[in-house]
Amino acid sequence: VTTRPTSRRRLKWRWRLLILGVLVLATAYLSRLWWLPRAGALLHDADPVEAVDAVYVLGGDPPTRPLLAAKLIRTGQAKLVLLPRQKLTAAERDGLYPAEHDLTQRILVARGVPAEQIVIIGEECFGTDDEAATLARYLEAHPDLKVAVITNDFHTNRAWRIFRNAFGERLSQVRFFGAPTDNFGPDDWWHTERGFVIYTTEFIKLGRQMLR
Amino acid sequence: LVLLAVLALVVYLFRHPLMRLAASALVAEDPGPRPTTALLFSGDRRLDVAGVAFKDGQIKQVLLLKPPPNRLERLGVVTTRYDKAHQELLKRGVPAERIAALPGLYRDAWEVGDQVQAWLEQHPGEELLIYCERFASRKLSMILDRTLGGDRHRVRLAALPHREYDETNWWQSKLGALEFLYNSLTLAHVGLVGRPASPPTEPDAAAYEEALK
Repeated sequence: VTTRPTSRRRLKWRWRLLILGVLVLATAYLSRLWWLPRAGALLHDADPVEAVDAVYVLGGDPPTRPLLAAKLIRTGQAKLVLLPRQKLTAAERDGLYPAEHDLTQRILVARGVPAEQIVIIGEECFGTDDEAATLARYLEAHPDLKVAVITNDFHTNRAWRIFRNAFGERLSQVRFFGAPTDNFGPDDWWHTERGFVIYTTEFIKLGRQMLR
Repeated sequence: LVLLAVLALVVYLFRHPLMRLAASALVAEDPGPRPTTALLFSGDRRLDVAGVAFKDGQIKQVLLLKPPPNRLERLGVVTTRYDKAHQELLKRGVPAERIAALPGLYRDAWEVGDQVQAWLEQHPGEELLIYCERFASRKLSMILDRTLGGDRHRVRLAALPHREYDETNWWQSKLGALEFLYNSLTLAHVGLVGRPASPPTEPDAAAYEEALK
């Protein structure tokens, strides 16, 4: 039985591709402790904390983000908390949970922020795009306000890109402060289920944002 | 290249069945007659479903999760999940004597599996129905397979669909797409890594703030 030269060449290329694929996967696995933390760090782009006029707490993680805002207010590094009004989830509409902006307000008050220093703005935000547009509209009426956006640290890079699209040159009015997550961070995000899910999702969302 | 182009075309043409198939891989439901004791684990409208099933006589007792209070519950800004679910079941006509907490300490789904195992040992001959979120049911089934061992057949999962999406339309809404993504990744992590060395912890609000730089 003879094999035609073209078929042999194809077979050879398939083997080469297979070996290359295995090598790439093996290298990625063996060097994972080198590249996984660096990949995680790509998501982080927070500014150092400094005094601002107001903080704007994005929705998404009530157990962490409002606490950074509360600390900044108590230490005099901010005077006002702005909260985007959030679109109600199905369970919130059923009355099983409070609306997220109401919950955040309660957390802030419980952590020592006077209620009169909290303002809920905009309407029915669902995601960072809506929240950026809401703050941009608010700052049109308050052009001298220096605002820090508070979100989780893994979300600061993407948030910055979304706000840049909404603000353009006026982005100099805005800083980005990152609240750390419990149990995982850029150096060990792949160790926990929640860290793995959140960071991987954020890589996908960041990639999508960069392609826009 | 031609092969890739043909493959891409086929994927595009059959995208809806493929997406339905992908989502159905996240769903696990146990067939057979349903037990009369139900544990409310997760899932949209689980309280409504349990209330109706109780009224119809399909379930006789409801078990609720009573995990240690989380940060916001400790802060006193929300009612504990157990108390809230208890109140809501009463509103739906389930009497207090038919509502109980799944005993034991549990901080994640793996530890819930351990306590379900303990409950099964304390109730020989009984079976348990678990209501759970539809797209997270395969993950829960995998965890129960590993924690219950030979008693797994005594637990039946009822995978509750979300009112806004299910396997047939999840890609049409942002919420559905996000839940599909989260649950796919969670299932992959459980399958690849298995049980974590230690469950997650959550320090008090004051300790969290103290640790902020």
